[in-house]
Amino acid sequence: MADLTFNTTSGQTVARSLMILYLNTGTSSTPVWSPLGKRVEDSSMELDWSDESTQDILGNVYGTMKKPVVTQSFDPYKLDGGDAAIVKIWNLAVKDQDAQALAAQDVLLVHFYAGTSSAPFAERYDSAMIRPTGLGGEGGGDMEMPIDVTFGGTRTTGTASKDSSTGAVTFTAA
Amino acid sequence: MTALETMREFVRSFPGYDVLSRLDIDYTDKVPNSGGLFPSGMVEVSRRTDILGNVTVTNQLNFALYTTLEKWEDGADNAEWQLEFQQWVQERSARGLAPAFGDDPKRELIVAQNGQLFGAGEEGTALYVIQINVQFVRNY
Repeated sequence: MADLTFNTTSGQTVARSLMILYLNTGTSSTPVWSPLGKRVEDSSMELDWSDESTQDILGNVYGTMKKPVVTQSFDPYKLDGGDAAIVKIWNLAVKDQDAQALAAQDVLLVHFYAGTSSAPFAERYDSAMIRPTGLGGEGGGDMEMPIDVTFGGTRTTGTASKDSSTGAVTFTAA
Repeated sequence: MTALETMREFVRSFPGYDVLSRLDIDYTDKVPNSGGLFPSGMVEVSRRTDILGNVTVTNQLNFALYTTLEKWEDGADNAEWQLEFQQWVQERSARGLAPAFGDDPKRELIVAQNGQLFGAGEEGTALYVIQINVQFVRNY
């Protein structure tokens, strides 16, 4: 795949809302991509490259890296009955305590700012681990269930499209 | 129903409202037992954006409730009315029984405070004022 360009205006920064992680709340063959992060105000992907630096006897420094382990935390994450993604995670974690299912979730990361605006770059991970780390909140406040996502499984790159009227997202592998 | 109409109806639902014969907007008659509700604008308290681009705004509406009451030698009845109204507003808000002004009623806050004698008229009346503030959320 050739290098991509950003479809945003040159000289302007890129809005955070142009990178969205979706959870498949449908089936593997008929995915329904539901966005993660409603009411989450700050969340970033963290890339662990397992990097090491060594120095030879001549004083030269060499570095080694591996493919990154990518994680992303959503904290706090407020429960909302209209948020299909968090409802699915709550069922798997709280109702079923299904660790195996939580460790094999189908997620789609769409970079709406990269590629063309009608077919932005997207990457699908078919076995991501979603780890709820708590459930509760302060009195008089909101119920929260923070989660950590570790991107895993087969990584398939491609493009996404978003229906302008329904908001439904479709992934097409490259 | 507009925010002003909502607040007007809320004030009218106070059990002690029957003391008042009318509740005008931006006007208070000098006739005893009349009231006036004065909106004094909206203040944006905070604006937050989530990572999906949804915007949540917290606003505050400000009102002043003026009441012209008959002045007695002992003004305890009038002062009690002011205190009872403020406590009633607090109770309705705390119990979630106050009217909704925004998109998330359970996060709303209505307070009535600083009720006090504002002035005494020569016609044997006393003018009282209570500040009413409403904090509510809008989702965009």
